[in-house]
Amino acid sequence: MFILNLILKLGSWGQRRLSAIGRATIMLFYSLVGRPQFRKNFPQLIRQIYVVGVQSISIIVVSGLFIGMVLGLQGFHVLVDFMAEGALGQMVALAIIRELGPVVTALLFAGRAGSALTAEIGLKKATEQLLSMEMMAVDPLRRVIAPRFWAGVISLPLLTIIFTLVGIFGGKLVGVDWLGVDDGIFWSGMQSSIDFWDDLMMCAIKSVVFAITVIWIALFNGYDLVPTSVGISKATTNTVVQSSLAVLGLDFVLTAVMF
Amino acid sequence: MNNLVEIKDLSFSYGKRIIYENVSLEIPKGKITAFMGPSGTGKTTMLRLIGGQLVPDAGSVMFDGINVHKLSRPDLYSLRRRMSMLFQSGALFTDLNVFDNVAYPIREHTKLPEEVIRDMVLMKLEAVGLRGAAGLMPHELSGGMARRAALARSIALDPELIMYDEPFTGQDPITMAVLLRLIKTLNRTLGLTSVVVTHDVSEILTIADYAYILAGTKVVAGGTPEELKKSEDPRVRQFIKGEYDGPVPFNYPTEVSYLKDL
Amino acid sequence: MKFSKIEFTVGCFIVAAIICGVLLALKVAGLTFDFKNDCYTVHGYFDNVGSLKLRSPVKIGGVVVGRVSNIYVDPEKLVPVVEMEIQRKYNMLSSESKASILTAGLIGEQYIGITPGFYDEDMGTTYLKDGDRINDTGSAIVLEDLIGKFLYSVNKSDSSSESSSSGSGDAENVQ
Repeated sequence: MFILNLILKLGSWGQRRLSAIGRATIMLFYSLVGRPQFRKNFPQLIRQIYVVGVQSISIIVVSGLFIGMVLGLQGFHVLVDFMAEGALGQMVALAIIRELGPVVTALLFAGRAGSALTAEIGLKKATEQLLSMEMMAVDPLRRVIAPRFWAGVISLPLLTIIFTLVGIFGGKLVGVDWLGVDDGIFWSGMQSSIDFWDDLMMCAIKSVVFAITVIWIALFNGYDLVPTSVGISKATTNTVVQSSLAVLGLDFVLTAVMF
Repeated sequence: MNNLVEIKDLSFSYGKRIIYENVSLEIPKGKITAFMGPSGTGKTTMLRLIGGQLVPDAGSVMFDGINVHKLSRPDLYSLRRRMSMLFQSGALFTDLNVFDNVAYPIREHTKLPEEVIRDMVLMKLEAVGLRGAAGLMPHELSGGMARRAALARSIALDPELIMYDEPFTGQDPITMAVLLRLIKTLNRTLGLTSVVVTHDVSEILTIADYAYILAGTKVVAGGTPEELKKSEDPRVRQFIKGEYDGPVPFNYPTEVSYLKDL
Repeated sequence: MKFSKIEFTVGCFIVAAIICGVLLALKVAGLTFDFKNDCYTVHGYFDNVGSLKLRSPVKIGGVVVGRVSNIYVDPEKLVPVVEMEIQRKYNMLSSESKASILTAGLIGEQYIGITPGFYDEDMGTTYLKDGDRINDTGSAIVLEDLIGKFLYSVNKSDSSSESSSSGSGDAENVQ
């Protein structure tokens, strides 16, 4: 009896999840498919890049710097035991470019911009702004969801690039300027082990995939929420939790597939 | 009689909760029609059914001879340009000021130069008496002003049908009188068809040409204000006079009797 | 057109990110913009390519002159073939040059080292051109083979120094 109940619950949970995925796909389809309206959407796009991208720069730069510095410090203490400080540049760059850059940026982005987007769209829904747009014969999917989606897909890879570079310079700051690893060896060791196509492009592909995932989850949670204050706070939490888990899971899958 | 909207045998339910069963009614062109009824009978739902935002379980909604729910998505959006709706909260865009809010539908649907748009917006704002508030943000407006600004936005593109969703709720008597006069003058001067959903019976009956009373999934009565006032139907009398006791139930329906529940 | 702060900062953001990307490519990945048409392709047959990879460097005396562009097995002879692109400015390589697969350090990456050969028109040698083949090749050192040979030669005689040199030079020319 208990087991039967469990199976029933699992079934209905799965059904709800699946229908949510279906609704999310429909939402994305209607917002992106169709005649593009550059003239009207472009100012919105710029505005949204400002909101989700430019306003996230400070947190990205600061965390990138500190993560790079910590990597430099930790790496130095491990490598110095093997007399291999020369490999510090290589280690810092590989760690940041392959994993930390795309993943940490996506996680920070989900917390900083994703949750804000969910709350904003949820509030627009709760105050009937989306409905009134529909009644004005303006499709909120095309006018509200689509520019935010593109802004996120453009912003996150750019933020990842900034994060990666700042992180590597953070590692250099600690390793070279503070702990005394030779400058030339630091950079050349890095250059010999990092390949433009294998590493930097993988980093870019990862961050684009993460961008689509995070922004899609954030927008759907906002668009689909129950328009009450509890609903908005729940949806905001869901955005952060779901997109973090999705990013970490996808990171494993992408790493397994690509390397 | 010339009807702009005709609703035939409409049924609608939210999950298991039935809102409408076989409802039929007409909205005459160029007149003010009022939907009245107790809270929770889905009067707003009716407006959203007419606007095509909700799909009925059965029956049809004809707007000027077009079945609203048989349209494709793009056709529905172009049909919606002919109607507009004033939401209960006003639903102004919080990130735009009053001027841009009113200009929004014009900018969306026309390619007029900015000077023409400016003149149009100022005319609409003047019509609702808010020309001086053009630069304010929505959160700086009082409730009544927000509703008037939203009204200016609703009439920005001169629609054929305008639906007011509870325009008087929570307004002081002066604002209410202002809104009543606005609805009436807009209706006469612009020649548009108005639908007003409200439970402020005595106020709306002063301006409405025709009124329906909706209660418990059905249209209870319909007619001109005079007819309704003279009606012998106890449910109509109860609602129009605002009596607490009568055939229209006050309690939310339940299957278990009160005695048993205790 | 009024000056918009938002547009300006978004522009700054995108330009900054592009600069960061270029810096990453140049400084971190050491990307150099060498174009295909600046190179000519030669190939060589090897017994064993070891762990040579695509885009591994081709060096003369430690200086990079090109990159490995393709590795495959000749379908008829069933012998590994390595194609390498060499920059066109190094066009004075004799067809008698030797290409061997070497290892940078004890556990480093493998690369192709080219030892330039002599050039004498009377002997019939030419300069390497696009599509030519390097006949003299040296295969990758497989550690197990090396140890096997070393043990064998120790048993045979005491000249271990000769055995190690023959270990690296045992590549037969595949005709």
